[in-house]
Amino acid sequence: MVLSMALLGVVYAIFLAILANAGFGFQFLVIIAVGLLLAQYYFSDRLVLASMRARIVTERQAPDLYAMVARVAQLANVPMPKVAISPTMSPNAFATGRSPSHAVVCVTQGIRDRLDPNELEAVLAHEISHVRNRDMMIITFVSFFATAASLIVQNGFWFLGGGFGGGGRRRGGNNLALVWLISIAVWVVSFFLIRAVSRYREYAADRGSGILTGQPALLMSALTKIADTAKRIPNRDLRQTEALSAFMIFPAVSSNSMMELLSTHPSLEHRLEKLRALERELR
Amino acid sequence: MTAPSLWPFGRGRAGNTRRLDPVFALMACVPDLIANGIAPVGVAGICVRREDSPAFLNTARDVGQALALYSHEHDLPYQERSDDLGFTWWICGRNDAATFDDAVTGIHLVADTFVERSFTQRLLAAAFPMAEDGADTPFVLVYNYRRQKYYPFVPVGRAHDRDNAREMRIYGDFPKSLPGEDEIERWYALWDAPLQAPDSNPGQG
Repeated sequence: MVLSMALLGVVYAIFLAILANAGFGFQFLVIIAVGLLLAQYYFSDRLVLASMRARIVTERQAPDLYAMVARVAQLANVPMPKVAISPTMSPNAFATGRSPSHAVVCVTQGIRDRLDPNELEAVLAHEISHVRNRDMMIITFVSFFATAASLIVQNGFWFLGGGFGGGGRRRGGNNLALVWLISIAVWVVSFFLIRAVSRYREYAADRGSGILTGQPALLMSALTKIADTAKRIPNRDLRQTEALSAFMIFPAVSSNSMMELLSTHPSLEHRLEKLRALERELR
Repeated sequence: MTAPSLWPFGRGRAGNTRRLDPVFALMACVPDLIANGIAPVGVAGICVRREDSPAFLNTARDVGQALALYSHEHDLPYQERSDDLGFTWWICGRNDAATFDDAVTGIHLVADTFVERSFTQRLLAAAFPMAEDGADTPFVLVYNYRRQKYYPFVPVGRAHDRDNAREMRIYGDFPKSLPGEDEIERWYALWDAPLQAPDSNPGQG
């Protein structure tokens, strides 16, 4: 994890240095990328909830669920997050929000029906671990440069050829092509590093759940119950998938903005393996 | 966390038209589909990501004109519709299997126009309501332009649920000639897709 983050940092530092050196419309790019980052940061929870058709619920509307979330939040020493329920019957849970004091934990009706209370608590502990570890912010941050790189790559001519600041035009085509190529490299490399980081965050949240509940077996049981083959068919709309995020003003409505319980990576088998190891450790 | 696409570029015009052939080739697959108990309802739809640039709006207008001409020549109703997620749909055809070939050609025309104007990345999906032998309700055959693969989608009820079991079964009935999406994690939904047959008068609704 530290290695991945360090490598990402190096990649981005080199990227920035080259951008600055090429002297092209750097300011414009920064404005756009920061704008996207802020938009994602501030609006992600609302957009994610809307995309999952989830509704925030009060304590009165779902007292058992609310009490469970409260208990786990207190154990984890985080402020009480908002609680939301998505009406879909497909079992899933996710956390979103820019910081522990602005977090939302959402469960679907399907997962409430499917799991025992103990297992559901383990799932909530996983999501609240994401909140406590500020994983949303981390993933948003590491995605920032990847988004910037992808913007350059896909709108290269607009940024590099158009005269927004810098001496781009004077320096000529070679510099622009070089920056473009570097952007592709940044994008490819960050693609893999981001996957590594996010895989690590999932393991960390699983571990957090095991430690909070003291019984990793509960999360193992929950994951196994809900991750059977048919349920791997996603509920997300095609129009909201990652591949389009570079074109959306708010890339927020993509898997970047929420930590979903059932993600494609890491695999269920690896997660169960690590939980088993944690169980041995805690014994 | 799903990964961003690594290759967002079109491959140039000839390459792009080749890439779009699976949609056109759907017509050739129809006899195989029918042999496996699946029949087109007759409607075809294409989903394109909107953009507020003049270039895009011009292209959309040209698409409308091209479709108007085609629809007039072939008596093919069509309609342009928008959804809440920032996408525009063009729907062609009637609830009559005989219009299916023309409907598919119609949306292929839409796709081709966008490709010609370098908007390939804006094409998201094509969708075709399909009837299944022995089933009361149709399902949606989805074509994903990025993956160039087909998969079934069966929405149920109003709470964004899917009938996964039926989808798996339908996928098993896909003929070999239809390129299917083997990775079920990529069977993304198209909730509330506006795939009702266009108004009976050919033209924009």
